[in-house]
Amino acid sequence: MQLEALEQQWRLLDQKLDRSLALETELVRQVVLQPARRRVHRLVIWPAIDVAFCIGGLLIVGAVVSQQWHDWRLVLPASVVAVSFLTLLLDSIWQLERLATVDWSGPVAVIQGSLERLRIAKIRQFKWIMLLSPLVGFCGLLVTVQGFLNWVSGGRADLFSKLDGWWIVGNIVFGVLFVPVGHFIARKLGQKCHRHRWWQSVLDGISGTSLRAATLEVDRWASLQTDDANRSQ
Amino acid sequence: MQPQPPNHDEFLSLLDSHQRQLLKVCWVYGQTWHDRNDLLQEITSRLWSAFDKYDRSRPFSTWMFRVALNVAIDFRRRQTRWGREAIRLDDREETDPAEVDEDKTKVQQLGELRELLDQQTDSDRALLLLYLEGNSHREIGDILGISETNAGTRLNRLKKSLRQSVQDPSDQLERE
Repeated sequence: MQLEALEQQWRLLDQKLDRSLALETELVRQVVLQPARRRVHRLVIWPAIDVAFCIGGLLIVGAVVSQQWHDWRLVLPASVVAVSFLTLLLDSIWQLERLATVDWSGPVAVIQGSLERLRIAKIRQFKWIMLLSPLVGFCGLLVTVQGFLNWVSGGRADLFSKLDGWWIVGNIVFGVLFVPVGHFIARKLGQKCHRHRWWQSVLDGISGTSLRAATLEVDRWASLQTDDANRSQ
Repeated sequence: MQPQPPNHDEFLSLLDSHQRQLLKVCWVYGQTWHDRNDLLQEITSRLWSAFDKYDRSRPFSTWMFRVALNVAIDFRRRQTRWGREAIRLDDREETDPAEVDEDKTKVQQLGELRELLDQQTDSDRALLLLYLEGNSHREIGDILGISETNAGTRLNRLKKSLRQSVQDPSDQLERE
């Protein structure tokens, strides 16, 4: 496209915006004059929910294990759940801390690089939550049900004596195998899911495709800051 | 310079004189009329939140463009991530009340402009927007956080690729 044509189209945009200027002025005034409607950045919402969820989860696991700390059949799955919650909690706190320090008036290349690194952390978190959810979910189920039974029976119930050992082992093996198999399935399905963009985004997040794209974005913003004046044109 | 407590009137007055630039950022980065309104509110909110830190010895447009572009690029990235980018060209303008009586030729030309901008990377889109708004290489560099020379080099490269991307029929006739 010729640059002159582009500039002409840009001037056309000026004329178009004239028509909506009055409406937008009112919109802007409303935002400024109603401070109670301060927006929370959307990247903050999920880490904040995760922090609350993890703290609650850790408290529950702690309460259940404290009553049966000598029983390895409970301590083992509880440890899996506790380590998962702790990792998620620390990661979410880190994300919130980074978000709180983003200076939106900073240079675009610098800020977008920071935001993209935050997104990478979020994508990575999502991927591991999805891949580990069968394993951690099953361990969490055991801990939760045992905790509930303890509460109902005054600590006399033993869930593990009622369950088939092989069933427990089978679920744990499934949970472990789900990590590589789930990754593989997500990669294959993601290549075929073009018409359903939401599902593709989910599958790309699990398979690592989104992670690679976000890493490329970070590199792109970083390369923008490189002074290439001495490179040949 | 020490940050000053935010002043509604001062902020609104500054914003009034730069509102057209703000609307253009929203037009470039918002896919639909609703997105553009949403983005405008988000940018304004962010500008107002950061206004107490605005250094009045520096041009307001530079500061405003930085905030606006940072918010807009982030907004666009979030839309793209959850698959909202696949919106047909004709869907984008139909919901805009201001477009109802618009000349079809103008709508088509603006559609071509939008398609061209959509094909660019985030950084090139920002570069192009700032260039079309008449910013100097130094100003562009200041806003993006790159050197003036780098801004000039990248802009020249972008202009070259734009000329090569679509062959103008009149150019072809001249060469023949």
